[in-house]
Amino acid sequence: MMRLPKFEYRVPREISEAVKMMADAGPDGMFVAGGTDLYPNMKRRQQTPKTVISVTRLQEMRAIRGDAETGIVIGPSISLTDICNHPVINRDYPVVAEAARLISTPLLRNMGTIGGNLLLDTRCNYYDQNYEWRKGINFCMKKDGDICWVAPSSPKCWAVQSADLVPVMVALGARVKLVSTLGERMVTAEGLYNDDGINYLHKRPDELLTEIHLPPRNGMKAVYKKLRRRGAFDFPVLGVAATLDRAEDGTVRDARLILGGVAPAPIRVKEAEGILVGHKLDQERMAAAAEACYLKARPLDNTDFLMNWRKQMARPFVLRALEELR
Amino acid sequence: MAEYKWPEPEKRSLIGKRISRVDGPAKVSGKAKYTYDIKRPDMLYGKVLRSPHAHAKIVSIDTSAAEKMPGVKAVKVIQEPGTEIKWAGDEIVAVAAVDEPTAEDAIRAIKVTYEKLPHLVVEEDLSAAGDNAKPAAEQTAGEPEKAFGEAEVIVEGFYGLPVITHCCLESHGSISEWEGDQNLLVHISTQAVSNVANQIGRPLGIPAANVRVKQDHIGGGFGSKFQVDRWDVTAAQLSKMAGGKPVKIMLERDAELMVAGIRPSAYARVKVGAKRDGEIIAWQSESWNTGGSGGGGSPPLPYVFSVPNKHTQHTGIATNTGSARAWRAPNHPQGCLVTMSALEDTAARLEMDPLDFFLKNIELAGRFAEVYREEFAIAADLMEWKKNWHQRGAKTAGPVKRGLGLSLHTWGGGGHGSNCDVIIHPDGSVEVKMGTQDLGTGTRTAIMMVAAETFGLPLEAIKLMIGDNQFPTSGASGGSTTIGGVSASTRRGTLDALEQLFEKVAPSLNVQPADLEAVAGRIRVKSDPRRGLSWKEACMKIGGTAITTRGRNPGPGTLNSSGVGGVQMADVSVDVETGIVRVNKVVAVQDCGLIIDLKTAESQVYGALIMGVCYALYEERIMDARTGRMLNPNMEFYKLAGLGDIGELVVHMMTGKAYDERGVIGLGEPPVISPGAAISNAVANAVGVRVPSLPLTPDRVLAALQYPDREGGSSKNGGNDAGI
Amino acid sequence: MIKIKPMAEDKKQKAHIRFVLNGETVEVAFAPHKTLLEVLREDLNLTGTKHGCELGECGTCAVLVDGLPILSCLALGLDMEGREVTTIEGMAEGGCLHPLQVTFADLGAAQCGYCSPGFLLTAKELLERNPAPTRDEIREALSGNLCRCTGYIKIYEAVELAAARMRGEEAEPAREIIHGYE
Repeated sequence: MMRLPKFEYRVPREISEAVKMMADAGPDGMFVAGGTDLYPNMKRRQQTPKTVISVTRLQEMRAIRGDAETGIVIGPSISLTDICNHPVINRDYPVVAEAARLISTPLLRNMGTIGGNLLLDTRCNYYDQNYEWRKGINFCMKKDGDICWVAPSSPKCWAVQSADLVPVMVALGARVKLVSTLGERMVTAEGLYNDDGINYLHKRPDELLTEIHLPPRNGMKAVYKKLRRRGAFDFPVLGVAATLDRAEDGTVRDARLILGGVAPAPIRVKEAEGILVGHKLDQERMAAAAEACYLKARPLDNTDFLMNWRKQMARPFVLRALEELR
Repeated sequence: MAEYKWPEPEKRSLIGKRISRVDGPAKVSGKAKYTYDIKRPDMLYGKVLRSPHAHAKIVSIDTSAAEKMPGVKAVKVIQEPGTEIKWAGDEIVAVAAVDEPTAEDAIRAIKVTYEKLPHLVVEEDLSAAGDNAKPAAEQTAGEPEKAFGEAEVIVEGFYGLPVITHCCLESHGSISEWEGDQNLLVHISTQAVSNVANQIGRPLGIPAANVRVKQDHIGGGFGSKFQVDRWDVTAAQLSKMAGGKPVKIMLERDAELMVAGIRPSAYARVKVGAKRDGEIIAWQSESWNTGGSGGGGSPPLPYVFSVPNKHTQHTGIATNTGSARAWRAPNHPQGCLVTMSALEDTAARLEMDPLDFFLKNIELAGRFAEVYREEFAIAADLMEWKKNWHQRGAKTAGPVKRGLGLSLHTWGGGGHGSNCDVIIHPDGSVEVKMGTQDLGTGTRTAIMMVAAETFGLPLEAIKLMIGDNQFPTSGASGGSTTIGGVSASTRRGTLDALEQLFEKVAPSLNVQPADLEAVAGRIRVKSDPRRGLSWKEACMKIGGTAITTRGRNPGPGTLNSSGVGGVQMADVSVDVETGIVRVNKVVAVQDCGLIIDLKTAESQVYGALIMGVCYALYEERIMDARTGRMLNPNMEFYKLAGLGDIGELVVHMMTGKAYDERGVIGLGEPPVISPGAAISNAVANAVGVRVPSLPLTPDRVLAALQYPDREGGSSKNGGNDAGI
Repeated sequence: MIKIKPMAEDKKQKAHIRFVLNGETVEVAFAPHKTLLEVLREDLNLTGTKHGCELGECGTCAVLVDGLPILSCLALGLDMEGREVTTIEGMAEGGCLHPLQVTFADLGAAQCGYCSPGFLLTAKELLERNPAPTRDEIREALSGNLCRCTGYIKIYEAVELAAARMRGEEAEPAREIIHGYE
């Protein structure tokens, strides 16, 4: 049976204590919440922190406050199951609960947290293998090696953003609070992600994600569509998050279309949004928006299915998302 | 001498009924012990260093650092420098240490250098196989050229299915320990308890007689656990090096998927010639497959239908991948998929309902033609075939298209050699001992049912002992041979024992032994059932020494036979904008002669259908051409269906006089043969084109819709050659 | 209280925690980086919890922690401090099998049986929060458990039958179950 490497495990009770522990641990420290991403990675020796600091017992990070009027603040240590079942989220931001329900399996949702999902490591067939496997191919640039096996001539890593809630949060205009011993800052979800499989977050390792803020909902409607092989377990090979805010006459005031699972970061397709804003939703506009999304999707062959099919699927998935919002 | 036959239907109290598995309570309470659960005193943990390269020569091995590590008790080089390694994952060195983490650290401290050699790991494109392709002899029957000349319709197609693995939930492995230097105790996850001693004794240089083998429960085998593996021998060697302490080696999940067995692939170009009225007259196929670096057999083509004029040629391709093992119905699912797809395509070209087309040609199916005819009628009813079937690709509104497909299959399933000891104690207790194993199929239950039936006792009265090679030898559980073997040996043994009991009892009832019968817990006079003794009273007549008999198969009387037929129909929905296939319903109608336990028999068929849905829609081993590595040696990307991915399943077992008369026949393999073909045919019917290769993933379906003339071509196997 | 191991001789090497396991408080010492699966199987000798895929991809190792099914292969033993853990060995109460165990055994939902503990504990939690689940709800709740044999149809039926019996309905399986006669 694959074993976890040795590490020191620390369980702070307050955020201030947690970030202090991280500062003490230095670059060999990592935060862990549900462990459903980190521990498999540790078993495969993709990540080998010397100190692991658990954030699951930080009461400050386990609450949800606010509503659609005021916007809500979600504690990142809340389990995905609790997100799925939370009355305020289901009432005011149902897309968050819907997307959370599509994550992995009930067992993993009982363990995994919303914060963990937002910070999920990028994934790749050549990276998500155990140590011996990766050593056998001289590793890859994401960990211990030099080249990208997916795109050997590429200077950058193409490991793919694979969390269902990421495109949703970007579409909703969420912001997150990051805290360290050096202070705290708010970052937009859109600004949190970086189009690089290795440095996929604009977040320093010592920063702790402590709050997720969703703006007031106003008239916005949102939907998330997930593509995967099986009805459970699988990470998205394409995720489409769409939001629409429409005037009473049906004119689109605001739209967001975000693609997940087809690049190292979520892709916001502003071209598609531009096609929709200021117009009523008709078949032609929706098809044009879907086409714009198709053009922007950049899947590579590093997860399930043929990559050109995943790219093609952007069309029907965006179209179906928009039809659902219409 | 006893008359060796099964009781008449009206006299059966257990056989043919739905009886719950006797080991169910142990399994649901966590008490059932699997090999993985065995912990022996002072046990050491073994780990294996595996080749990271698909094809390489070992240049040097340095184990010195590992040997010096505290806690490491033995290090064994399995393959010496100079050896050519033919697949990634092959065993190079093993260590035994006081715990798993230490063993893992030790493995990582071993330095092996390799000279890498060119590898071939994908085989879908025959033309790329080069010298690794080994054409077998061509086979011709009748006059294929002439027949194709006379054919009014000729249909050509390409069909295939990739390598899949067994993916047992309990991985392979064993625990070995020495008592002195000549006696070995092995706990092993095996489908062949009685065969292990010989297989492991030989390489260890000890007599099989000195090897004790045990297994209570097994977490899946499916054909991959027939043989003692090299890591089992290694565990025994490490144990010896460590002074006889038990050494446990159970495979990690990645090794389980890379080296512990595959089902060979199959790809074929097929040409079928038919008359306008649907009569099949000619078959031609060029097929190829891989079973790893060795052979993988070849699929029977054409399958079931003996087309009078045929020409077939098969090429085996040696690839640098883990070796083939029997996978539930070896070669049949491949032959079935290729054949039934080609025939269904022919029916579609003729614009015939494939049910009519298959029935028209059913005499070509030979011995089971009548069985198939009967089964098709039942299946068609359960599927409402005539109401729901439409011409291939018939236009319906919306992106989701529905379709029906069918298939048929056959299998042998004759009982294997089996021996058991039957003991009736003077106190009335009954023991049956047999060196067999229960793979979860219900073997324990079936043996107890047969014994209880013979003695007229309730199931609980039988004390059954299996899973130990101290008991009389019984064959390996595979090829659907177990039920026929163990039921026959048990029946013969118990009938003989009963005859001896009758001899003891008869004088006290003033009758001849032949006048007695064992019914409902009594030994009584057939002609006057009120006269008799309770089982317990009867057994008191035995005297001081228990009755002991040896039941055997084969043996006198006709208790089992070989050969079954089955048909299946599938109903699917396909979203033609995405290519996503959903199975709505599968109907299986299956014959297996006389059924011992109807409940476990049905379970076998349900399970087979689901395994069939798995390989039809989800499962495939994906090899990376560049690195030579398996890309999905894990259960995230080696996709098994969950219970939400399965449609409605309907199982109908054929029963009745004609089936009873053939005796007991095995069932494990046959129902897993047809699902791939039936589902592929249903998808073709739904979308109007053939999706050439399984699994019918949405990318393959869409590629087939977009490029209907492209051969295969949509496989992910081969990995990347994509730039950005 | 059951003491599985004496207080660790070497406190640096071993973690030492106390939690409720199958209704009884236990103290156990183990290497701190061990998963709950390893602690259960190796330090507490409870092998009913099975090892499957090691990476959270199969559901075979599921146990209940504070009533919720989780994967013991991805949970740290250390995190169990003060929690309540239920394994398959603790599912029967007072020597009486749980209704789910009875129906899994009777209907043949346990074939090879290797995945059964994970399925059973996951289904137990489902029936505690939803006494009358629809087939869709069963599908959803058990979607994280894989079976290779595969007994999915029987598993659906076993959950439905156990639920009905737990609701006090006189439900019998659709087909007869015979264990022989008296």
